[in-house]
Amino acid sequence: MAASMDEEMAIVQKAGANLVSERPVFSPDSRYVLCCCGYVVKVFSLASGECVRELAGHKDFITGVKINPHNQFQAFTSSLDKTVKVWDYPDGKLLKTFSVGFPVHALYLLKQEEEAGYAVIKGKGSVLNLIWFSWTNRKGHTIRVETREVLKRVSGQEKHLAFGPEGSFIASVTCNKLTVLFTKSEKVKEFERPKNEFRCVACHPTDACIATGMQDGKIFLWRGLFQKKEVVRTIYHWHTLPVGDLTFSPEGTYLMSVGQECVLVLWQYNTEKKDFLPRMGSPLCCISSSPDGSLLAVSQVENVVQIVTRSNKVVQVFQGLTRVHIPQLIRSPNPVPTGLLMDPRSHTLVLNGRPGHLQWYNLHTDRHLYNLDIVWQNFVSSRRPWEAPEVIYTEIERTAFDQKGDWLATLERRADGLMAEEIKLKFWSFNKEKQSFELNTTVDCPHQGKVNALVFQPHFGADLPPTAVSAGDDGKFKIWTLVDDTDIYRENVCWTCDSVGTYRDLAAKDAAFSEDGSLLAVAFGQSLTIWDPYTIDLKTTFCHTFCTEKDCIRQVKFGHGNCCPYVISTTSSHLSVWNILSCSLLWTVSCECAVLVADPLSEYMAVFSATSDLTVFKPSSPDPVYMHNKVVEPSVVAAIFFPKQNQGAEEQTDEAPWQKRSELYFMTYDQVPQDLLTLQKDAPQQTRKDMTQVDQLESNLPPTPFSMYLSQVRQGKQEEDSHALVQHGTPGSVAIQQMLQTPAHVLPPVSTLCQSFLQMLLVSKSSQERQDDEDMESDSDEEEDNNQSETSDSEMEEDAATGSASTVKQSTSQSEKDSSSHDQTSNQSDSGKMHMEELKELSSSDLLWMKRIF
Amino acid sequence: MAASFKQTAAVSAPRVGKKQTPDAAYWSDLEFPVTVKEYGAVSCVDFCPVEPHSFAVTASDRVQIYNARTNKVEKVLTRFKEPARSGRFRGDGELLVAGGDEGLVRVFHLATKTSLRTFTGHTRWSVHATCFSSDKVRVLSASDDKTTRLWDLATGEAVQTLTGHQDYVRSLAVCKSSADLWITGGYDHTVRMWDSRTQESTMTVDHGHPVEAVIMFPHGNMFLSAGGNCVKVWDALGGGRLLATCTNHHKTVTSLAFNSSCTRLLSASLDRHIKVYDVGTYQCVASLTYPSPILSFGVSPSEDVVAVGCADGMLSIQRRKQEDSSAKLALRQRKRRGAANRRYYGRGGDYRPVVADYSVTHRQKEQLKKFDKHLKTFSSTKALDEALKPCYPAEVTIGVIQELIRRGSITEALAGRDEKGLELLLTFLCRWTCEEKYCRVLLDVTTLVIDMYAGVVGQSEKVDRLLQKLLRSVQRETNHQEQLLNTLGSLETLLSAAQSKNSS
Repeated sequence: MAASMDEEMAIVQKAGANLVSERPVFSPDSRYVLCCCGYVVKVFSLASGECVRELAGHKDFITGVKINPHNQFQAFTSSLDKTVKVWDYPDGKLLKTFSVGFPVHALYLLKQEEEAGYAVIKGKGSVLNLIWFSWTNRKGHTIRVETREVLKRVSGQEKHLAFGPEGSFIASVTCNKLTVLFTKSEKVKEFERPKNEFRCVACHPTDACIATGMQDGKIFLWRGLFQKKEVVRTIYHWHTLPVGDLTFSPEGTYLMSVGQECVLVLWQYNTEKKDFLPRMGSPLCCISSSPDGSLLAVSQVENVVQIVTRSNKVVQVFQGLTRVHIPQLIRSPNPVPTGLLMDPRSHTLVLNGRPGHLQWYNLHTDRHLYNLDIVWQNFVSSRRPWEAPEVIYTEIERTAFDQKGDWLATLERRADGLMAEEIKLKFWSFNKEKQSFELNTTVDCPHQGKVNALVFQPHFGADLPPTAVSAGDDGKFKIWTLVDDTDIYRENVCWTCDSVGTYRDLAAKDAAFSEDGSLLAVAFGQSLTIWDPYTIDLKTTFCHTFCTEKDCIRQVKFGHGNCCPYVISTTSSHLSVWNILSCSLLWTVSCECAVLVADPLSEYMAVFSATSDLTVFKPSSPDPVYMHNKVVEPSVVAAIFFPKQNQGAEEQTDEAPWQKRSELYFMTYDQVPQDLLTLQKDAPQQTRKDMTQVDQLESNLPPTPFSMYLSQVRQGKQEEDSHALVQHGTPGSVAIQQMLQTPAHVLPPVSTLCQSFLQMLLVSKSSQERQDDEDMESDSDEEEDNNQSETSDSEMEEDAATGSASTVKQSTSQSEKDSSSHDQTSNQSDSGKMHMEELKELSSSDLLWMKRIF
Repeated sequence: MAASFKQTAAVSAPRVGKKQTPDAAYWSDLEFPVTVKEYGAVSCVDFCPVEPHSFAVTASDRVQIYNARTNKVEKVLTRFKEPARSGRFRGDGELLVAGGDEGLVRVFHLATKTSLRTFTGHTRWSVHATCFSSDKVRVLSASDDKTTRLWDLATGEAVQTLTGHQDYVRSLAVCKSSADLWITGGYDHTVRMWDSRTQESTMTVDHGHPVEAVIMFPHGNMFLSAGGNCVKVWDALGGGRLLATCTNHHKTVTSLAFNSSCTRLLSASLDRHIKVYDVGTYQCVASLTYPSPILSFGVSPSEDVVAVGCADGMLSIQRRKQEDSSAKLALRQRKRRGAANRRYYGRGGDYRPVVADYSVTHRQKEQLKKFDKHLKTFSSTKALDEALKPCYPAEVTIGVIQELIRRGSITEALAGRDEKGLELLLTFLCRWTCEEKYCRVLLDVTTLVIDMYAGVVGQSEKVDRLLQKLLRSVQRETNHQEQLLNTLGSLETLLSAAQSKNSS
């Protein structure tokens, strides 16, 4: 245990980085789109939608990425780690790094200035200033950076600053003020809107015109800046909510604006005409135009970048893990009420997506696969806060997959506290032809109030109909089964409520099935009740008498594998393990549990405390297997043991035993975009290797998704083949493993097992004998056996009439062997010794086990 | 293009009780029946197999031929001195055979109404079932003298006299695919299959009740018998194996028939119902109800007329509703006034694109309901007004109300109504607030409306009346619920008492 503590494991971010913090940037040939994504910049191919490069090297958040206006194959990135880096982005190579000395919050490059640019830095006294900086290459490849302050007190966001045509002026907005600095005359003009707030600014590419988006949804166009008279202001007003971002098309004929209404508005410059692209899916935050003006990149707050053509067609979508919890949208304490789930069919991660959707996410390739619309409702953005109450969205609160992934159950709920609650339980069946889930049954109002658990019963016998259990705050747990609804017109199956159970009118807080599905545990208040799911008989009750009155059971889990007779329950202050066989408390520890997860492939379980302390344990003993204090700063809201991709391919010796079969993923949430994290060792190297593979592919192949897929499949196949050649094990080891894995209380007495076990070994041996007779003959000790085999061979050549006799003889020889094998264990005779050696060859560990028994 | 607008779904409440099957809809899609008083109990209704499918009704001492289009009597055959039985058409519709209580079997020529033959073999025993053989040249008759006779139409003599039944023979059916095969059902509970090439019955099955009606599938492999309250299906090829038993009636089944395609079986009974079965599964798929016990019925080969004869002498004739009435057709034609120019506008419509052509597909514009269009433009009051129109079913209206609740604009949609708008809303609430499946949503809406419009009470007579109506219906419902709770409470006491007694 102590040894495992010493191993320090690194926390690796797997997914969930924010793609939409800054404006996406098109490459000049419109083949790539560059997005800031945490500490890296992702380069997406526009044709295939794949992430083809990751520009990694910064040690802090990247705040801006810009294409070098003088070299279209170079990109500049700025970061909070006080450096600006230059990359060859098509090849993903770092070219230069120069230090600015202060954290850079935004970066601007102009065509007019060579080897120079503008940056927003956090200077002394944590004031954000705009600086001009230039760099010169000297001998010895040291780079000298010169800086000059241009404008004081600007905002750190990229969209709060804009440069006029040919850098003639700089427009900056902060709160209620628009500041225009004329670069030649160095004069400053200021405009104030005391009751309104500036949200974004953009400059026309050719005219001296500034567009500003306001808090109240208006867009102001400021013109005549160089005149001495009062500036002319035009108002465009369509948005009702604050304007999210503005941009001009490169020719300057259109002004594009986005906001929380999920609508992209195209204003024709200098006319009143406008065009819309409605129902983009979620609030929009950033927009940028491609250099030729044919494409638009629109960022959505849910971590999606959509590429839209000028004919209002969405041609490509780049998305990371959908940020489920957008502060503007849903204000619930848990961003993933369904938790993290694994789709058993595709081995992908399933969790809440955008409001009313579930998302499928491939962890191994870090790709968002698809969204499934569960509630089927239009996304309607809230109106202005003083006009109407906030819109409350129907949220998916519980989701469950059955064992094979044929059925999906979802529970959606909308409770605004004013009107009647809307609760729907939906069962979805997997359609193999369409490769997607189809709605089968909708149950309106399955429970009154909140539903706390929804689980499918695991089945090993195929003849039983699928069964699910839901438990709610109304004190009931309901068993749902699939029934035949076929009549002469169509074949159909549907789900109905089979039975309802209650216990003392207490609210049911959680439900769980044992590994084989024969027992159902439901937590009612302080009591843990065990039921027979087929007859709804209350089998037994465990009560937390050592807990206080208000301390209710929150989570219940059954152990897996060897620990299957144990039930683990957590309350807000205790974690207890009960033994079902003896109906007693096995052990209990005092800890504040937030999340409890079980590994489906091994007996290990992990628990996260409210202060993000991770403990991995086996239910059979109270000693932790692994402990990690304060895993992350924010609180952990969900976790899952996810099976590894290359299951059992090669055993890495340096891995902890609990990580051999599954990896632990967990999701954090603390008012910032939630991240999906895992514990790993030397993980970064591995990911880099993957990336280089993709690089090679990318250079060799036309970047179409199908060709990528095909090449990956081929590669995978080759690897598999090579594994198949290497892999060979001891004969019968599978059976031994099975025998060893079966829980002890189910096993028949050892004396009965012994014979079959030995027989199994010998049969495999004898078959081997026949295969390579010559090898056996060389052994001098084995004359008897030799004779036997010879005689049997000769008999084989004889007529069929003696065939029966030969089989009899063979069986007798078999029995002789049996007896001899019995002898070998007791008397240690010569032949016994020989067998012993052979057995040792087979598997020494098994033999040890056998010896111990005898 | 961005995602399309998701249409508002109607609220689906779980249906309790019987499901509406397509068959039930088909068989209930009949006009209001025309009833005709006959002279006595209608013992047989038979449709002519050829157009225009007139039908023969046997009642009392006459056989009347009705015109299926006008429901008027075309011809009357009154040669019978005692009640006539089983007036049936020949396959070509030219001849009709009828038995009777006087023991004679008569064959009529329908065009001239003349009696062609009279067979006198069943002396004084009433003949309850007659039939033409499927080769059209012989006549079969079954009589209370326990025999079945085969008559030759040309010579007018009995070809065969078949004995075997132990009691009255009351039903008869021929096989359409073979002229030599027929079955009879008797009051001795047996159904016998006969072959004209042998004297003996080739197969006998026991029905278990006096057999009132038999019928044979056209292919002759299966036959059905009705008697008592059950209908039994027999497999003739399988040596008289019982395939299925339908006991959907609770009184004696008197008559059987197939629909035109032989995919549905219909049975009529003294319990005043006609049941329709699917012949694949023998599940009852539809049921028709009549005012008095049914003795006989018939379905026209085109399935657009159902004639049902009752024991009290009433004949009910029902016609299928016309899908396209002439008025509607005329309206549709008037709408397409441009039909004169169709050749101009439709030119090139049959052009097939060749390889070199670039085809531009026309994107079908999404059809949205009116309230959805209003919802799309965020005009909530208009959407609610549209959905409250009586042309929409309540589920749709409540779906729209729920959508407005979700958008948080329900108060906006309810507020600011004039007398007419409020009337529309209150009428809807009066009708549906106390409905169990909708009350969860509508109770909240009703509360909101009352809060909102408390000030306008007394200003309009109509609104006041509707509010009072609403109050009454709510009071009725609460009283009802109270009673239910009382009953439930007393029941629970009894149950717990019984349980405690059991356990002790």
